[in-house]
Amino acid sequence: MPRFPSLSEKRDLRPTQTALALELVTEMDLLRLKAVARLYARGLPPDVSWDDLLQEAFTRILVGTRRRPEAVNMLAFVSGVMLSLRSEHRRRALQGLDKDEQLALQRLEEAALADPAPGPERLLSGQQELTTILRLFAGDERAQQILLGLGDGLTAEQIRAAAGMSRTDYDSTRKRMRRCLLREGLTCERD
Amino acid sequence: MRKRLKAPAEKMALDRILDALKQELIEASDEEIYQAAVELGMNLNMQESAAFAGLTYPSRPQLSDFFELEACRYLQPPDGASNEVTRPRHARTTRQSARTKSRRRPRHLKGY
Repeated sequence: MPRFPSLSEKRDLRPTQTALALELVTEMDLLRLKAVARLYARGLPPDVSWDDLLQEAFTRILVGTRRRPEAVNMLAFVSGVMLSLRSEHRRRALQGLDKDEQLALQRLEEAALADPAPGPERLLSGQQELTTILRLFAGDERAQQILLGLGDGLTAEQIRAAAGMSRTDYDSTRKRMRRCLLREGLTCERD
Repeated sequence: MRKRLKAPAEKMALDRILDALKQELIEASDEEIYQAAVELGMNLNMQESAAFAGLTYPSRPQLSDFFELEACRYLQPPDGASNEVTRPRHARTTRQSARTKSRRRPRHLKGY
């Protein structure tokens, strides 16, 4: 683990370096957070990248805008902050839709007249985001079945029963999914 | 008027999926992360590994990585100094110093 100068020695540390200096997270934890940030950045406008999400989350934590409850794990906490930032960015992006999207919304609005509760823009964004996540596991039918089951709020047993999967199949698919997520999470490529 | 707003099904499904995937990533062991890095051809033992781009060093190259910009010196105050831009009164501009440099004769040509 590299030695980072104390805050008094150097003032212009990047937030992630500051987090390391404060020993809040290890380098491996940073990689986990990077993977989570890349996952959350999927479906966001191109001007918001994963590192923006992560840096903003760290900044808010270090500035004190978001305070970590004592019982909450640091990684879960930072991920939670990133998730709320993601929702903020998504909401802002939806306010500035282009013409094609507005047309799509209009069509959805017409179709959703019977039940306008969800709101067409939310329907559209929810569907788009689900598609971007499912695309991660394109070609892996089992993984997609598990994801849809998780989306429906089913437990592991219920998913296995619904998809006719053995426990071994289920476990190996989850492992495969995790490997895929980590590979996607560590890469430097833009989405 | 409705008292409680119901979140759309897609949004709830998405939230559940993101939550489950996030949990997968948080619980991933160091070994699994290391393995994923190896599959991508990254060496996590190296400080400059591409996996750390954007974490411990900037992912996008900065102009100041390649050029020593005079403007950067003014923007970076010395330790302990205030954050105010302190430009020396008689400091030369970049253009002036560049011109002087190009007109300066190399030492080995002096006297010719």
